[in-house]
Amino acid sequence: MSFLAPLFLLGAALIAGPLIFHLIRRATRHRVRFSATQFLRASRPRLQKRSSLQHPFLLFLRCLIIALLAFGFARPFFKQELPVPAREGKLKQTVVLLDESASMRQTGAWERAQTRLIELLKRHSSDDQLSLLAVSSTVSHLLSHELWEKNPVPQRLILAQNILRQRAPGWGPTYLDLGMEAALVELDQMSEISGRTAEKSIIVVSDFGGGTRLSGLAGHDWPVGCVVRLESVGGMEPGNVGVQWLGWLKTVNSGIGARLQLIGSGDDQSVTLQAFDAESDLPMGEEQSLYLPGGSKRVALYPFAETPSGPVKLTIRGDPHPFDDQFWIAPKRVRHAAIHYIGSAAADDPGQSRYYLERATAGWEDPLLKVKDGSELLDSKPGDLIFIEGNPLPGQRSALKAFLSEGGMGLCLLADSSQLPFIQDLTGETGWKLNLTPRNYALLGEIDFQHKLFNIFADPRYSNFSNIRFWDAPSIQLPQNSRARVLAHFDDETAALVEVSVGDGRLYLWSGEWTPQASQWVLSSKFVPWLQRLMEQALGGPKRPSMIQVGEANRLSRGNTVTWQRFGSGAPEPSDPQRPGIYLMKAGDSSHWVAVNMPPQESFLEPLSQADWENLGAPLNPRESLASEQSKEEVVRFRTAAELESQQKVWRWFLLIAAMILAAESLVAITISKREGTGIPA
Amino acid sequence: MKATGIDPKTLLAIRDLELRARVVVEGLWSGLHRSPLEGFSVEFTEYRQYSPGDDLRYLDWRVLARTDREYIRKFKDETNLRCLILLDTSRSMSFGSLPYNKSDYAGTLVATLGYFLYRQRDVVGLALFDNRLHDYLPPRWRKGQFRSLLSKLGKKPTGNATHLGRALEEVIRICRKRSLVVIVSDFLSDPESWQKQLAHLAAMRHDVRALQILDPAERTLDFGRAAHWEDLETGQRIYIDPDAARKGYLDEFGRHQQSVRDVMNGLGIVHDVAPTDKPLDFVLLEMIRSGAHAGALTRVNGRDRG
Repeated sequence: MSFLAPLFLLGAALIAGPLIFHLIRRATRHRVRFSATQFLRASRPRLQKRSSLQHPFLLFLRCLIIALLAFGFARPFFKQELPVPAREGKLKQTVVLLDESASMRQTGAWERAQTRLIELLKRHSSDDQLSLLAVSSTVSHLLSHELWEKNPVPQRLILAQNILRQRAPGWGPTYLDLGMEAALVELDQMSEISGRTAEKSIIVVSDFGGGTRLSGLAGHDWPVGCVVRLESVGGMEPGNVGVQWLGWLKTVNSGIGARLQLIGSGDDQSVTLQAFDAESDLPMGEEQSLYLPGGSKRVALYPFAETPSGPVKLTIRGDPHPFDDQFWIAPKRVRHAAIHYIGSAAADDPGQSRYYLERATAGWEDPLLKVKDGSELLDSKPGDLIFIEGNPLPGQRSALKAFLSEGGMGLCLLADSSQLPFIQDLTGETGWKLNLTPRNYALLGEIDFQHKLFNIFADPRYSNFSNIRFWDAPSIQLPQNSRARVLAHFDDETAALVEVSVGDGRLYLWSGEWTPQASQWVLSSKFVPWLQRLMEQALGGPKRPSMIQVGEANRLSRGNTVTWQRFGSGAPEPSDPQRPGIYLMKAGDSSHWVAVNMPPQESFLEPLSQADWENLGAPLNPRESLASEQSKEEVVRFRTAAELESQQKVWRWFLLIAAMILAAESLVAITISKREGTGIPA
Repeated sequence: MKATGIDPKTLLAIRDLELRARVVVEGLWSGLHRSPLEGFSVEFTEYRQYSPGDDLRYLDWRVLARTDREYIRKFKDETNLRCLILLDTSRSMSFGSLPYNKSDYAGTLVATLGYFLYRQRDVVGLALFDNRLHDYLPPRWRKGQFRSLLSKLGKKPTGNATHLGRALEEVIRICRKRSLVVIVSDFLSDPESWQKQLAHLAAMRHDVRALQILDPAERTLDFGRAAHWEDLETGQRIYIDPDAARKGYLDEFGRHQQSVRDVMNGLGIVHDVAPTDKPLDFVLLEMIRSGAHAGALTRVNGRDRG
């Protein structure tokens, strides 16, 4: 039984009245007035228990009357499984977005999120539509609105609890912009299905750490009437230090060190760093103490005694949140490649192409490149590039053809018609021509920016090749029905760069020499990046990074079949790495260690400000706090209770019984009064 | 004369005091209070032989002429009774174990007596007292006298203590003419406190009658329960268990009554006890009868005119 006005139950305390009355009245009621007491002698009082109450049955009736009245005024009612009252007016459609990023692993955040979610779900009525999404680097549906509506009302909360029980925060980044977009799509679907006007709201349950990505919300069109409510579950202990990998660095004493960026949030932090061998767990360097002012970033170099040959585990101690205190480092991986130069030019002659080739490739770290004479062509290996200037010797031609046929890559500078037989021999196509007609100068006109050699310049900021002049560049004419592909045209629509397949390999034909006398190409800012791109193509693509973040593993596969095997585990992972650690990545015949770490921005726990959301135009509803929502729920609950109470009218029974007992009490009191009242003077 | 025996509970249920008095008096024999004394009144009673010295004015000349014998005519003397009723209005009179108290009973009795005398054209006065005489209606016969008497009786008792002696002193001072003085009280105070004054009053040749009004509970203590008992006049409280205290009370009360009777007898005062459960007409009749036997009225009129 429940009560609509439970404060009236305090009225039951009035029972003390009759109790006191029955105790006190014992003394007053027994006072007898008499006219001739002078003839009386005082009697010896009879022993009585002071605790005994006078007329206990009468007292019981009186107490019962007061209790019944108190209960009646408290307006009792019996709880029934009534449907939760539908809200007046519009339907309510809600999408709850649960953050499952790595920052939700901070102490207590996940537990608070679950509790808050259950509270939110409890307050939704039977008419409301609700969908529950989880967001990290991707968005997943935890509870669709169809499933929500399909389940009976009492089952919904149990279902949601079971789903939440199976969930845990991941290690990925917080892409709330993705989540918000998915939530808006979900709201649209709900509207289409219901066909009714509804109050739309998106409730985001997150720690709103500083690394949360919201940029995708810029300029977003928000539906009319949609409100976003932020339920923060983080920030209890914002102090934290995270690590971001910057790379390897040679130290002053010719050693090597790990260059790190430490990201601090919250209060000032003093932390220590120490590296351990991931396999043996033995220290690989001294413990370093670092101090970070609150909310700052600083770069630190952790020196190793010797270049690590295996995976490294870096630990951070001293901050309150342990979830990001381990950082994995894969051993440094270097790709070696060579450019086999076939030609007669000297390396130190600035009037020759080789001079610029060697200058442009000097100091590369990936790949570590070496320009070799074509005489060593026999030593070529996959990933090398054959650079041809002039006519190769007959022995070189066969080796070159074999190299290209097996998947190698070559670049030939076409400047003389005498090279055409060699080209025809390599490509197997006849009809190649070179037009050596002099012209004032040529400019690159149409360029295939979709090709891998040029796609790095596809951005309009870098796609301007119009300031590179070509003075001595013959026009290449392709044979009829050639399988060759023109990657760049001069402005007179003649070919400037041609790609020809030779077996499994490719041969690029460049019009003219790479000398300042022939063109401005070798002196342009595009030259070195293009050459870098060419070498990457020769090596099969850009270098696969050995330090990645959770969720970036698919970036390394490049469409190839890749398997991952966690360090220390004998079996390959069923999917891409979803948690930090060291993994052995196998792609074809090659394999190397890859360190997978948590996104560093997830360590930055300083929460986003509301202004960040407002700047993005998000329709926040800040006043609609949980407390006010609870008060609304209280009002609805009270109305429901009042309705129940008015239907049942239990209070009438209480008052009726009280009236009957009152009548009985009067009869008893009169009887007692008649029996004992002779002492009362008329 | 007949005794009607009207139940006092029924009688006192009548609110109007005058009506109560009329009910009682109308039930009594008319002329009950006709004087038993002979005198020179207009009503002839008998003849007697003339003897020398008799007043010749009363000689019946007609009888002398017919029979030649001298007879003196004798007449009933119409007494003009002067009565003063003293009524106790102290707090002790407010006690009652019946639906009415002693004061109600005594008031009705006084009203009845007053009306009885008033109808007889006797002179009636009333004096109310507690610890002093606080209200006084001089005895006279006039129109409205009975109404005045009733209005005095209508007042509720307010006094605390009873001091009969002091009240009697005042009566002695203001009531010089010989009268029938009827004292209506419970006489619960010590007789020594009023014995002297009562003797003085009796010595003034007033016909004093004492009518003691007692509640049945005062006579038997068959009343109340074990509790704190409070004296109506003094307010003093003592714990009384009536079952335990009854014997001692009856002894004490009996001694007190005996002393009252002794004082009354010693002074030649008619003392009647009127329990409040006794019909009023009985009380009235007994009072009249006892008064006639005692011959008090003889002393009041003092002359034989025959």
